[in-house]
Amino acid sequence: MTDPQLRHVGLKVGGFEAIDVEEAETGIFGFWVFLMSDAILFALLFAVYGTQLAATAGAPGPAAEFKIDSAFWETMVLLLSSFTYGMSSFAMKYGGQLRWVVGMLLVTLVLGLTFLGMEANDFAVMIHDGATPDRSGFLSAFFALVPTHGLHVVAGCSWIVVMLVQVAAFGLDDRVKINLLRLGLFWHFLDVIWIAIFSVVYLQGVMR
Amino acid sequence: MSGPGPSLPRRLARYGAAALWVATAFSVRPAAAPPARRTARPSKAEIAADRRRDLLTYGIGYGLALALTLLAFALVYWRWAEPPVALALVFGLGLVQVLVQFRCFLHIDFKGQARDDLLLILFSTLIVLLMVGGTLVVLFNLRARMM
Repeated sequence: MTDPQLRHVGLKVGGFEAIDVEEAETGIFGFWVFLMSDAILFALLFAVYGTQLAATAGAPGPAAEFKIDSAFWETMVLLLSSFTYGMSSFAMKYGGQLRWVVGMLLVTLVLGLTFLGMEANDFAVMIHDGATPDRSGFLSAFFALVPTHGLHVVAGCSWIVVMLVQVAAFGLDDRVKINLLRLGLFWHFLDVIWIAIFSVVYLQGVMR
Repeated sequence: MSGPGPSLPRRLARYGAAALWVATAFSVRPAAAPPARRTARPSKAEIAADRRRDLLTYGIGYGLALALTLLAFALVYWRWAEPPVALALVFGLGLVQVLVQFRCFLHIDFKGQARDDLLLILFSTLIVLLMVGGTLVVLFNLRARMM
């Protein structure tokens, strides 16, 4: 503890005034605990999906239902949003120019909503084709796994809106900064989960 | 051991260390002074160096993630490999990308400041491996017996 900076945050944001460093560290570490419990939830949904991969029971299977182009563009959008969130954190760390922090948050929000729109469209097409969760074990597992990630992105987008309101109300004070760091962890984590979904669900699915 | 240059093992070790240094270069703090108690504000030069390094970290992370995604996608889309090989490659590339994103976007590394986070993540990984592995083994075994 020789360095009076946040140690849990890679983007060590120095210069906290109102909050002491230890309190900030505890808050970030607690959020990591939540993220890891969430990771375990997703891992088990993946495990269930793996066991149900062959259980199509005559309903449309992965090769028929997955649109790889759409999944690819969703991946690109989410990856870019992860990067733009990183740029927002970067701007916050160095100088904290409100224009950049908020601008990049807005870009991230738009990309997140774009992703959700594309994903909702995918689900609508699947359901229109008769690939509903009640048709087979495979479809149940698919609709348990992928929309759970979608719900997380919905939560992330709502959180971005909340943070924009907080920035507008309080400016970039210490608590807002820490909240933005936590939201950043959440947002990057969602992208990591999506990489697993893209590999395990979509790429594996169209390969069959 | 009285030759003009350093011995081969020593030279190899030196190359290895150099390679390791290059591999982690973007995570090395270029400040010359040891990270002693920082009483005064960091100097302008230090901030500029940190700033450049952080930007580079994000840029490298994004570039690598993009390249790994494109590679995995191309493997499947243009059928560059047979399905079993392609599947293994896709999973491998995905795993590498997860590591890249943890390093570059979530800022987890082996350098001290996030040691507790790292331990938490490693322990969670162990739990995940046990539970996912166990689930898959048990249920595939059951399926094989019932088919």
